[in-house]
Amino acid sequence: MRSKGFTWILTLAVLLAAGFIARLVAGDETAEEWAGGRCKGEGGFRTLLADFLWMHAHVSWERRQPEATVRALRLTVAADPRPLAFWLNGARMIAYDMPRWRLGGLDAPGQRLPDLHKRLEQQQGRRALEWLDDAARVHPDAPAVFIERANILLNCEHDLEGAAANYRRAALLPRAPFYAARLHAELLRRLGRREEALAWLAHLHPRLPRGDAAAAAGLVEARIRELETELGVPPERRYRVPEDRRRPGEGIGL
Amino acid sequence: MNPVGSWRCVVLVARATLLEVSRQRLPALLLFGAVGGILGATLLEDFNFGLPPLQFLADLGQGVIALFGSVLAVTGSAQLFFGEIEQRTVFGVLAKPVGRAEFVLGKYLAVLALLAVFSVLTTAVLVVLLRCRGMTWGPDWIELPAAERLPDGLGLVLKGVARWLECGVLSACTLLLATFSSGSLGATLLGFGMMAIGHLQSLARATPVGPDPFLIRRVVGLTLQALPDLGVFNLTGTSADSTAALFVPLARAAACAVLYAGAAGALAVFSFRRREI
Repeated sequence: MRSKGFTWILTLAVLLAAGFIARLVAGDETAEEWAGGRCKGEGGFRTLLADFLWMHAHVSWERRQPEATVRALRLTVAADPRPLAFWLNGARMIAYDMPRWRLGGLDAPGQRLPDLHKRLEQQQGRRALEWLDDAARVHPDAPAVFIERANILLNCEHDLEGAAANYRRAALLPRAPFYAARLHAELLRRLGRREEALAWLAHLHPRLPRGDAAAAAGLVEARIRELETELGVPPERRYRVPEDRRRPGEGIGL
Repeated sequence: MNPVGSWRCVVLVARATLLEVSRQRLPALLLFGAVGGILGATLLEDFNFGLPPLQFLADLGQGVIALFGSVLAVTGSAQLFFGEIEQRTVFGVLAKPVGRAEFVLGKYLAVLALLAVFSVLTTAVLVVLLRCRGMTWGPDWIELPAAERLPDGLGLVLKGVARWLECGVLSACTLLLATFSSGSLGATLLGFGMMAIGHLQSLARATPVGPDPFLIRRVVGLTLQALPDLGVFNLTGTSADSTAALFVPLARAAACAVLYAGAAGALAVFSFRRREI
């Protein structure tokens, strides 16, 4: 009997020691890292598991249950943090849908309780930004995450400064959409920083590919001219379009 | 004790066990099930909401390999260990100059060889399937963001090695549990329990806890620490910059496998030596 008890105790002690050393070797992730979406213990079924959790989040979303939706979203990105769609759509649910649910009615709530609605919008906006902070830790090179941050800062927090900074950060990343750089300039203009906007656009324009509609090089040039007129830039110091410009398909390379 | 003689005994036990395996239906059934599952993954493509189709198939295929491989590791280890005990042939084996340690290690070696064959065949099927769908042999996605990267042949092979290591750990743990159990059913069920906990450890850590979680967290944390974290062997979600960077987590996984399997194997030998057959 004593021998059996000794075997059990020895087994537990050895397994605990092995587990401790193995975690040192493998690098034990902290709870914050897990919350940030780094989860890797579900085997190759993580994708399928995350897809089903995403559907579960959608059911809670349809029932307008904020807490259940957030919980399901957290589990979804914990199961598989790779798909950007989970992060971006999750942020939109938190920022744009949940203030309306929390207000309790969908029939033009802004007309009845404008202050409360605005407060809820800001609260949910902050939660969505925290959610996107986690997304940025997982996807530091994804422009879409910073564009979504900028959109939420603009629409929920009405923070032009923060939104401009995030559009800029997105525009500086490889494979960023061209509109991120244009929106950065537009927000600088709205903030009254027209010289800065002009400098940014003048830096951007020569890097835009020819013949790519998304790059909207003509629109950028028109904006440059408007800003030059508004700022009263003398003709000799005005922006001149360079002869050689980039071909379609190449990034901005700011 | 003569180490060369001991090693020869281990190999002999392993060879006899493999001969026994070749007469069983379960390993072949699991192999066909895994191949069917890999090919059937293409039917689930409609459930993919966010990943490139090739990545989705690769993930699912590796999931099938891990699942069937784990089932083979658990059931194979339990059945092969208890097979000789239940048929009483173990007395004949142990009456010869074969020690109990050599018997356990021989069984483990046989299961490892069986799992290696399983891993090679299933990984080959997955690679061929993905190659037919346009996968490249080497990574051609280095410029892409992590969310848009596609699987490649070399990466899948490295991940297959990690899966084999995982199954090896699971097999060693099941052998340890078998030395404590009275029958193969108990050992198999305990093995599956260990497999589930090992796979879900990371998800358990990600789940939000209640308002006063200190004591619960301590108790659960200590329990989890004694069981292997099989997430270490999952390189699927590793956001490596290149396939070459997979070698680092693979080396870590190999170190963990040696540690877990070594500890479980040594304990299995110790426990089996003290056990009444």
